[in-house]
Amino acid sequence: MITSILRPPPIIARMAFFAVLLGAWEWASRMGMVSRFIAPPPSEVVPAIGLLYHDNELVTRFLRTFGQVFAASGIGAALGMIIGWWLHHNKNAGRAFTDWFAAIAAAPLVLLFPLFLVLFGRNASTIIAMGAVAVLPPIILKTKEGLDHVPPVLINVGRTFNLTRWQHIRLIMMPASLPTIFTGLRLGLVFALINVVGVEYLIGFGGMGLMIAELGDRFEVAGMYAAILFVVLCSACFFWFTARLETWLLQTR
Amino acid sequence: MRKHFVLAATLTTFLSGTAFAETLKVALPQKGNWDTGIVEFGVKAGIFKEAGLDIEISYTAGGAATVQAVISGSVDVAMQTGLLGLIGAYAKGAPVRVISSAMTGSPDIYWYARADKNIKSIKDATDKTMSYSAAGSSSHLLALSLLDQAKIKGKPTATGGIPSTYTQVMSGQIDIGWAVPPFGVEDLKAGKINIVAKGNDLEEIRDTTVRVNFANADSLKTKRALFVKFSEAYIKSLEWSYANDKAIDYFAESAEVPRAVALESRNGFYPKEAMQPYDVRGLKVSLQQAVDFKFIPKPMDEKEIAGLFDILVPKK
Repeated sequence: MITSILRPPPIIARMAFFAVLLGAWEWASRMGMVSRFIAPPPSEVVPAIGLLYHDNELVTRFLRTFGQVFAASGIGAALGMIIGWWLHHNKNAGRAFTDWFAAIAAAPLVLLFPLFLVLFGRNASTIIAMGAVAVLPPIILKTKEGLDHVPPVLINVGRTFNLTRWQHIRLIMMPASLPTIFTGLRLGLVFALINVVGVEYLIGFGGMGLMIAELGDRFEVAGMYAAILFVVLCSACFFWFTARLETWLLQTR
Repeated sequence: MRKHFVLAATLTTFLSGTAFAETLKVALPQKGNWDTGIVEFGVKAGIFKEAGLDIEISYTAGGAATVQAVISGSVDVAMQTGLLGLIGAYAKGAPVRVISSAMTGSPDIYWYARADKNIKSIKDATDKTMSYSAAGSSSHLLALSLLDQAKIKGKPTATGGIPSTYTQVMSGQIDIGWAVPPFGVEDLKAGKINIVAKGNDLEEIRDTTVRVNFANADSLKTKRALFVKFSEAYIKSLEWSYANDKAIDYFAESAEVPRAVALESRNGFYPKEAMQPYDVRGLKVSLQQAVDFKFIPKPMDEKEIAGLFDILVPKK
């Protein structure tokens, strides 16, 4: 009994930690330790999500942001897997450019937004292009890594069966590298979400990022935190969904 | 004896100068503009030091970030902040007080087009893209009002900050851009761009306070004398900046533009009367705009908002 209290299941531990965090925030705000004009208590923030729905077109803005995230992820994933395959296939290119992509993955690409504004104008294309650029490095690196680490025994089995090039890719290389590629896809999706919301905020255009900027400008602090909380919750759901999808795909491959 | 005299003189000089100077943290929303530069010029000219004030200047992003900096006590006074945002903050209970007016009307903001586009006035803006910075900003409000006043159907388009707007105008993505001097003044002189409209073309805005200087209400209660001293020094600095050519040198240096451009910017876009610090004018117009742009959820009258204003130095 005591052991089960001291070592709760992960889901209970997670929820308890979250509850303690919210409780501490509520207490600090109510005691005046944190000004409610800077960080309003959760009891003001959570109901404000409802107001976002009524006053700020939450659904439309959510769909716009996530539409852009999916578009950026789709473009980035397609290009990234092709480049990753090329880096795997062409060993010289792999040695020459892999470090570059690793460096790009660590760079704050969001700061390039003025350049993209000039290239694409102040519209959804800029946001999608910036999201796609952010998605590229993890997918390129993980695709290459996955393909590089396909067990030689599987490749040899393919050769023994005289598989055609296409069969070799479809039946050996892709299934064997799928878990690693999927890790890249999940990272890419998260990078896309961060960049899309960040660029929307910076250029004042689009969905959730723009909503956060507008609420901040109007000094609707509770609403602003509610919008941020909403994006975080969506991101968590998004991450959970891709994890489930990965499990399902790996089971059915 | 002589040694003691020198020591006493040094000590007296020290105590009458820095040791007794009270520190005040001041937030400026933009570096390199004439209106936001008045405090900087006063500091350089020694006006604040003379008043016994040691001014620490920091630059903020303006808007809500500035309001939060004042509420949290990171800064004592914030200059040239949009009145609508402050009305919104006050209506939500934020402890802020306007201590002086900073800009009446909008003589500084202007809209321009590339000279080869043949857009000479707002009447040529039909079906043209006309920029503003972001939804709910003062440039948005003014762009809509300018089109409305001229009864023209333009296409208001958000283009972000001044440099990115300029790029979009010059690359042909946008027909009419917005700017504030000294930005664009060199291009205006060179004939690369021409002015299409100015903020003060709007009759109702010309005598309406758009930006103010403000402080934390609680600090104002406890350190009122200090804020009064600051306001007096600010007004002195304002007078000095319009009377003394040295201010143009400081302005040119701060904005990193040639002196002639700095002079042209001040004389053409910042009339002294617009920067009068004594009265907050046209409050009815501002309250209506605050509702229109969702800064306040429901209409308020002048009495309900009266507590926001605590003008420290009345006009003599």
